[in-house]
Amino acid sequence: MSQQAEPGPKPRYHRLLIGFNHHTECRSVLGFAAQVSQAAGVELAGVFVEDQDLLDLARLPFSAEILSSSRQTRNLDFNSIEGELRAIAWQMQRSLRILAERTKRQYSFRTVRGHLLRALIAQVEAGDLVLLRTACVPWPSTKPAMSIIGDIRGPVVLLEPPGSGNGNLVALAQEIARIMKQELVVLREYSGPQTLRSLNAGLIIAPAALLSADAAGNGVEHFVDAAPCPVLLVPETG
Amino acid sequence: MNQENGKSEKRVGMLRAPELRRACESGCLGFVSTDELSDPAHVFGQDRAINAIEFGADIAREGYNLFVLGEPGSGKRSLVRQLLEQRAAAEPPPSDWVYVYNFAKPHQPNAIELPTGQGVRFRDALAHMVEELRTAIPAIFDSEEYRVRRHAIDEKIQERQQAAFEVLEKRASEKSIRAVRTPAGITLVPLRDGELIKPEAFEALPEAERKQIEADIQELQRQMLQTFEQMPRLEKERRKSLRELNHEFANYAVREIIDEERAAFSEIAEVRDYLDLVQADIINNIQMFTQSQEMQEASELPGGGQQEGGDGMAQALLGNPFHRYEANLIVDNSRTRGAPVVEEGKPTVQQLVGRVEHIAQMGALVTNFMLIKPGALHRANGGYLLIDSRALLMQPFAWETLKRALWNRETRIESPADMLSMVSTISLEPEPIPLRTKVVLFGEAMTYYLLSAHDPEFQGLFKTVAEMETTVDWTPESEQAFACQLAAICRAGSVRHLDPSGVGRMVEQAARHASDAEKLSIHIGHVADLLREADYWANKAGAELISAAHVQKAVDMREERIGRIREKSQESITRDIVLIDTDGARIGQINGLSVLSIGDLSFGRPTRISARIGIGAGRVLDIEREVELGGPLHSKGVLILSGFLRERFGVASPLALTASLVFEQSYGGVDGDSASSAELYCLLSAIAEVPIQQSFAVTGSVNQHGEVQAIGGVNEKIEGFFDICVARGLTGRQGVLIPSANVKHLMLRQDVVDAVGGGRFHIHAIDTIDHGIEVLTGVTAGERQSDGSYPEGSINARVAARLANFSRARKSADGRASDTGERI
Repeated sequence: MSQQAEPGPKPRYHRLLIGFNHHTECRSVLGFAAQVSQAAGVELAGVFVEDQDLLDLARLPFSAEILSSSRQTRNLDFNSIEGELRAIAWQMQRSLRILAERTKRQYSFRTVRGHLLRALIAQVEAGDLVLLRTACVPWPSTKPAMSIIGDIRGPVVLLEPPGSGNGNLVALAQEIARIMKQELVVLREYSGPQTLRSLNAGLIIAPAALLSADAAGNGVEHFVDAAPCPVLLVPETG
Repeated sequence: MNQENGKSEKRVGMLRAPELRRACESGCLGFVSTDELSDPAHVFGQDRAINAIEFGADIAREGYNLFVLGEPGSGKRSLVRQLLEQRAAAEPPPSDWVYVYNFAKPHQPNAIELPTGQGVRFRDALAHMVEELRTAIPAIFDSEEYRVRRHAIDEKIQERQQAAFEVLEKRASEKSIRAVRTPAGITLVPLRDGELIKPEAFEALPEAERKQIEADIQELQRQMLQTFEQMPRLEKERRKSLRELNHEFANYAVREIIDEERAAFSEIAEVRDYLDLVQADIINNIQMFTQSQEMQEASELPGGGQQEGGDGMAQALLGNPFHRYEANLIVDNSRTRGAPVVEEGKPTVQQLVGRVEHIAQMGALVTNFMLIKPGALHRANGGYLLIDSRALLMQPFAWETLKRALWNRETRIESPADMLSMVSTISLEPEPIPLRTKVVLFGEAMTYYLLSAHDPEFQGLFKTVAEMETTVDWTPESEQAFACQLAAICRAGSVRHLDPSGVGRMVEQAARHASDAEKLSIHIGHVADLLREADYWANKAGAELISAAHVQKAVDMREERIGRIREKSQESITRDIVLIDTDGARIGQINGLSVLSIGDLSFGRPTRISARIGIGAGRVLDIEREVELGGPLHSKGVLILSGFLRERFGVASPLALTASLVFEQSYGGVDGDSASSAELYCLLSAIAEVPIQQSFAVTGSVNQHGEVQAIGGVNEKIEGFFDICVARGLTGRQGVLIPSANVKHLMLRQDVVDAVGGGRFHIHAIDTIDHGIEVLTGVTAGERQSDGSYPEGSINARVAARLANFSRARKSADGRASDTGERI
């Protein structure tokens, strides 16, 4: 009588949540997100966050912006900003749709107003993965946007607390590393961003609990700000 | 044919049968078959033309191009080819030529001359070089060393950028202000406890604080603008550093590979210079080589991606940017032995000077130097180019283009469409190639003379003329040479050989074609055609050799094939639709003879000429001329008649005669003066009231002294009347009067000769009108006596008497009119 092999943990993830705001660097995560969603076998779910701070700012009487293309100054106007954000959202949605069709993934898209990470975390449901990249550098980069995708190189780093025994998370990390043709490094002791930088990580996969996020997602925000690469947050590890 | 001291003796009177056709003594030819004869060195009888061609080919001076003139089929083309190919074989093969990309002016590709056979090597070397570079350059730019140095440049610039912004951030932070990205740029926001001040909270602040915040933000904005203004400079520095880095690495990779080719072609300065340009261009456009393989492949597809940084021309053309480093080998003499001899059968402008082809791409016509195609002048450069002048002149712009090339001594690729600005598209102006070609034009004499008369540049460009001879003297030596020529045609055309009788008959037919019993036509086209047709009949008969019978059969069958119109013409006479008497006698009526030529067919036919006279002012009225059916030569002949009458009968008193002459039932034009003697006979008959025997037909022109002069087509004219007489039955009284000067031209059909030999038909050689009128009327013409009168009863006496009567009647009438005030 043969002993039947214990069935492996079934993936429980349904969506990959990707957050966008008006920063152009956000778009560079799209290709990467498609790879991850393929690896995880999940739907692509885009969330465009209209930056509340920006809208508030536009209502201040003296607010002005320096245009990055012409280096000219112009007054900020609430209606104009709102229109521009909608236009960017439309472009993002279109890009996501094209990508989803190309990779044969289902997709969804919604627009919310708030702060990027907080608004994104607020959208998380059970079975979601969250791809985070703050891209909040205030200054226009001299690097072309395309090169950011090219920079996503290096091992997939899985932050796994000792004894968690999360088979689903490991299986997911293995699959992603395989598809991305990268090494998988399992890190059981996380001592801060310096560790991740020394590993030259290409993607960090972390359970949400490990990052001790508060209800507003502030812990996560701090982690993502410090991370040198995109972070795939797994809110509920089952 | 009696010849003494090279001058023919005039033969007058009734001719004997042997005088009507010269036979070739085939028994004296001295062979059994032409197969025994060797080929002649050249076409025989063309020594003058051969000397001219050799002179023209030999003289290496400007403008000494050749014009070879002769009738179509005279063998001029094969003669020129034979002579030039013999000559070219001993000359060195010319250089190779390639077109390469012009990096400074892409629309003007450069031409490079290479030693014979080096063109292929150069082209292949460039292709190999590009292949190597496409492998070597990406490898260099993918090296760890390059990555590290490039990263260092990026880091350095980013650090400076970051440092500049950190200073700004620090100042902002000190004033509780933060920079925030907007969709289109950047802005500064006031903070309170690390958070943006909401508009409502801002409004609630004391005015002084609000003003301070506003002032701080404006000051920071000013500083920010200053920082931003540094950014393009930093970016420029980055690009410059990157360019220098790329240049350094590219130079290392490219120089090593190109140096190999430079060494291989070190003897050719133009190639060395070109390779320097290639090296510089590759380094300047190194990104073409560093693209990923996928992008390269995509760019090589029609309409594929375009490169960054290249000049627009190459990008817009064929999609493959590496074409610019290739060589378009337009003249390859690697397999040429001797100098080229090129014959261009369709001398359009493009066929002559080459063309620039285009391809359709995205609805536009584009091209590049690889689409330059050579013309005949390129292929014949350093050798000889043979062109038919008529074909050349019929092609738009071709003649002018050829002349321009010869004057300028260079081949410049031009398009008629460009000349007329008909097509608006991207095109090229390839660098002209020096021209060292001897051009040989073929053409008919008329073409040559027209060009000489109307094109002032022609004589300066075609200073050597070679004229093909049409006939040679018929001598025993020329018979032998003719036989050798036949042997050569037999061998060249896979035609069976001839026996002596066949050669003899061919010789006779050549004399007939020359319309001269003392000359042989050496028109190779006609000879070869007849020989091929005789071979056909010999084959039908199962004969091994072509004999006289086969040649005769070929002649007869050709006559029959083309003879429909002649038969119809004769039938209209024999059925009395066209009225021609061949018996009886009539006053003021005679049978003239004319020749009709339609295509290959040429035949004689009689025409009734009639004359009517009356009292008048001494004018001979040419009805043909009055109705504009007579040509100038015919009118001249008629005017000569008036001169003859005045000279002979109008000395004592003015001619008081009005005469009208007409070609009966002639509905087409009449030209030539060969009927002028017949018209004069007819006129004399009408004046003298002496009938002319209608069993005769007459040909010959006449001068004002009454001398009968030679005409053309004598054989056809005699045979034309003979055939009518045969159809009606030969009576033994019928015959033709011909000028005695034409006796030497007689090469009549054998049936005519036989009829004359049997006394059933007669041919009279006539030298004067007096002689002719006696034959025609049987009445003595009468010689002028010392007192100016003519013997009683003679033709001339009757004419003189009749004209004197007219004169008196005219005077009488004039007197009456004067009395009554009337005018006649």
